Formats: sequence, C-alpha cells, structure tokens
Amino acid sequence: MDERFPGWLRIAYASLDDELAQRRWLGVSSVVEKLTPLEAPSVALIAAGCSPISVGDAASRALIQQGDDTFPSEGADVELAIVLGAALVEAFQKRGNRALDIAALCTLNSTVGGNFRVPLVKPVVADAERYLDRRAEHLRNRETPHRTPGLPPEAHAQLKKAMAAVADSFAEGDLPGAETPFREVATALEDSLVGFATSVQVAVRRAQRDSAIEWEALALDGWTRRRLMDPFPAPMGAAIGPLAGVELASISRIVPGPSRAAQYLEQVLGEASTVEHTALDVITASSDVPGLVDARFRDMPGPGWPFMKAILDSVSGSPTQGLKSCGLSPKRRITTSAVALQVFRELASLRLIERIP
Amino acid sequence: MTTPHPVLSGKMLSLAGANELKKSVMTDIIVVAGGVNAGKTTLLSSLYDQFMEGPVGNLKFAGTLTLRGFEEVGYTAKTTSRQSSPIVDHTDIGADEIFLHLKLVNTEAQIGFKHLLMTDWSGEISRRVSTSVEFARTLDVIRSCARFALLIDGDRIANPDERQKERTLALLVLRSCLDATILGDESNCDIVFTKWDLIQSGPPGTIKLIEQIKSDIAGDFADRLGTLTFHETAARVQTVGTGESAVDRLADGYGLKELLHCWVGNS
Repeated sequence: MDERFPGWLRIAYASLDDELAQRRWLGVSSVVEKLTPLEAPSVALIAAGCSPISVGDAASRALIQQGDDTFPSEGADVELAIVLGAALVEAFQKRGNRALDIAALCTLNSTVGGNFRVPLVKPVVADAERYLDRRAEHLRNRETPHRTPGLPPEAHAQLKKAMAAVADSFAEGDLPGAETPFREVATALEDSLVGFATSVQVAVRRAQRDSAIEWEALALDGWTRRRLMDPFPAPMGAAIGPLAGVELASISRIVPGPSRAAQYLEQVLGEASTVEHTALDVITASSDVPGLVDARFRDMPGPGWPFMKAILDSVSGSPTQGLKSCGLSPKRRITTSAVALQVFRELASLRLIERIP
Repeated sequence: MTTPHPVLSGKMLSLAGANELKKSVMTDIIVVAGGVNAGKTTLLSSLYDQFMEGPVGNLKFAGTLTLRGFEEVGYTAKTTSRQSSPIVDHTDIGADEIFLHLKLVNTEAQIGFKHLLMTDWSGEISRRVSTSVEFARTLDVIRSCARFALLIDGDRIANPDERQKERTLALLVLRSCLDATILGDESNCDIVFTKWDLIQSGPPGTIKLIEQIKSDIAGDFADRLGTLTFHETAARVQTVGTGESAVDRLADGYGLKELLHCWVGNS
C-alpha cells in the first residue's frame, strides 16, 4: 500500500481503521490492474472531482468492487474520488498503456487552470504530467514499436493443418519412417517462417514509426519556423490559444503527443503566450472560428473536454452556460499557452477514444 | 419503532454519521478542544447565532443537519455561560454524538458549498489528553481534522491563581497530540483565547502574559505544525463596567468572523 493512502482516505473519513484502509487498497489495486480505455475517461473525471452521476460511475465502482466487494454501489462520492485518484497515482508510476494515456489526458483536461475540486487531485495531476512526459519519450524510443504476432493467425493455422495432414499421410502410407524427419523439418520451417514474418513486421512497423517520428519532427520544426515568420494575427485575440492547440494536434503523429509540447506552443505563440484571458473571452472569440467548432465533441462529457465542448455548445447557446456545464468558471483567467496546451490535449484524448473498438 | 437515521434526526452527529457525511460531500472537520468551561460550547452556539442574524462576512448560512444539536448547545450555553462557580463541564465526556454541522456558501466566489463538522467535546477530554499520550492516540478524529482549535479560557488567564494552570494545560495538550502523532507537520492549529473581554479587563500584566503564552507556544510547536495561528474571541460579552470601559466596546461574537474565515478559507 502507498504509505500516503490512509492519509488520502481520511479526506472521506472522520475516523479510519487500518482494516478499512487495507480493504480499500484492494479496490485501488483492482482498478490499477483492470483499467481499460473504455473506463479510463470516467475514472479520471471522477478522480478529478467531477460529479460521478454526470460522467457515469457504474463501471468505476465495478472495477473497485472486483477487489473490494464492500465498496458501495452508490453514494460515497468523495470516497469514490479518493480511491480512483489513488489508483491513478499508483498506475501512473507503472509502464504506460492506452488506458493510462486517456486517463492522464482526461485528468489534465478537467483540471485546467488549477480547477481542483478535491484535495487529492493535486498529486494526481502532477503524476499525470510526469506520466505523459515519460510516455512521449517511451513511444518514440522503444525498441519494438508494437507487439509482434508473427504470421497472421489464420494463415498460421492453415499451415499447421497442412503440415499435420502431410505428416499423417506419411504415417498411414508407404513411408512411415519419413514421418518423424518430416515433422522436424516442418517445425523448423514453421519457426523460420514465423521468425521471418515477425522480422518483416517489426522492420515495417519500425520504419513506419521512424517515418512518423521524422515527419512529426520536421513538421514541428516547419510549423515553428512558419509561425515565427507569420504569427497568429493579433485581431484573433483570445482565439489564438485554441488555434495553436488545433495546429499542434494536426501535426502530432504519435498520440498522446510530442514531448515538450508546451515548449513548442510557447515558441510558436511568442509574446502572446503569456497573455491572460478569461475562459469566457476564449470561448466567445473561438465560437466564430470555423476550425475550432468541432462536432465530434457533441457527445463527450463536458468536464473532460471543457474548452472544445464549450466552444461547440456556445454556437447554439450561451457561452457562459456552456462553460458552466463543463465545470469551468467563466471568470477563470488562463494564459494563451495554457489554453493552447489544453485544446491540444482535448483533441489528443478524443483521438485515443475514437480508436477504442 | 425505528431509530431515525443519525443524519436526519437533527441531533448532533455521531462518528458514524460524520463518516457518512464526509464520504459523500467534501467536509472539513474542526476539532474544538480546550479545558472545562473554556467556552467551547458557547463559541459553537454563538457561531450559529451569528448566522441566524445574517451573513458573517462573505459567508452565508446554507443549512445544517444538526438543527436540534445547535438548539441544545445554545440552551446549554445560555443557561451556564459565565457561571462563576462551580466550574462544571457542560458536555458529557461519554457523549457519542459530538459533531455539529454547518453548510455555508461564499456570497462572493462561486466555489460551491462548504461543509464544516465541528466537535463539541467535553473539556475533560482535553484534560485527559494533557496527561496521557496513549489516550490522545485514541482520538483518531484529530488525525482527520482540517483544523485543530485549542481554546484557552480568558477568564482563567485573567485570574492570577488560575493562569499558570491554564497555560500549562494548553502546552500539554499540544505536546501530547504531537507526541501521539495525531497532530503533525501538516496540521493546522488555531490557538483561540476566549472571553477576551475578561482578558482586557483583567489585572495589569494580563495582555503581556498573553504575548508570553503566544511566544511559548510558537517557540515550542510552530516547527512541528503545518500552520499555527492565534485568535481573540468573545462569544458572549459579559456586561461589566460602565460606559466607556474597553469591555463595553466589544460586541457579542467578537473575533468569531475572523476565526470562521480562517476555518473556511484555509481548511
């Protein structure tokens, strides 16, 4: 158990015994072990303090209950946020996967500008940031880009079947002595075919990965140079941040994004990067810019995608109402570069969710 | 007959009721400690009374789950407050229902509701804490509290025969809680001098003694606590003196607004 966990759990308890903390930790471990991309958004949003009912909490509670069957199926919202937050802190220390990519991005999305709703969010946010940095490096530097399945399963099965049929016919026919050498040859042939296919796939995927990384690096370089010569026009005002975020997302090839995304954005935005706007100004300015109104966000829960969702909602309604339904105060002040990073992350997390089968 | 749910009966909440509330909504526990007759019950009752008259600063009353509890402590406080003798403990040491609840809303910032659970503990508990680290260790609620408010009885500080006992009690309570590790370097501690009107009208040197006590507490404990703040309060001002004395210039509830904002803002 993380030694900080009993202290975190005390946020939800006036008095706490060790046995209860141990039991709840089993729930934490269950979430760490079983989290899939499907549950990741709601787990992250609840851990960030969003209302469990509004983002859907049944799957999160079920994950916990697989380790701790005493965890309540309803209510105890603060305790739910604490257990899920502790699970994310624990999971972010481990090796990355797509579920954690989504969870890290959604955590950061919903806590934009220090919008912390429960005390545990602070460490979760810090760990999510560190996780994404590590993940960006790992995805670009790992030895094997993807799992290597060898031959396609169907072709492999057919090959095995054909070899077995020939070996059987040797055994049943005129050449019973040939069966054993044939099986040996067949196995060796199969192994080398699998090995060859694997090598080809690794080489192809590595080449694809390398090419994507190279393309991304060149594109990032070109983008920063271009924007230095041709900065975002000042009259775009508060919409500059979201525009920069969208541009970076369109260049990024390996989700959840390039390492040093924030530095690229600051470089591209130049002096504008430190200018502060209210959330309301950003949404109002952005709702007139066609590239920023993205219908894919229509069905996403607002607290996980506050800026893109509020921009979309403000086209058909009031920007203030749109922001409030996303859990963001219209008066919250935020720098242009922070808005840009936020929009970039909202788009990156949407891309990952769209890939879920 | 079924027993009413502790949260819904309106009485003070038990530990189980406090747990239920804390699990469901973000709630800060304020432990109010202090010796017998230090003014704990009076302070809690006065806080509630202040809200009944209107907002306290930018904080507005938004409800309570312990309406009956506040009525009961209000009655106790009004009937026993400032009794000169004998010194009696207003709160039962064995009481299970010890939490008073306040739901507040900030009228200036959109930060949602603030829930506070304040303990109305017997003064006898503080005395036992001061003499036993083992006993202090059993008070798990202090580990969970957002703020630990230790009340120092202004009446006793103003009395030359009692002041050293009161000072020593405060120091021993803090030391015991720290040694039992129920308070630590993440704890927020408020030292509250109650009955400030009596301190002001006390014999010469009383205010100087207060400064000495502050200095002693800060010197001994500031490094071992997360935050340490000092407050002066007079929940119910005793009508003494005539006309122009400093005592008459204090109003009921003196210092409570600042204390409450400290509890709400930093907890």
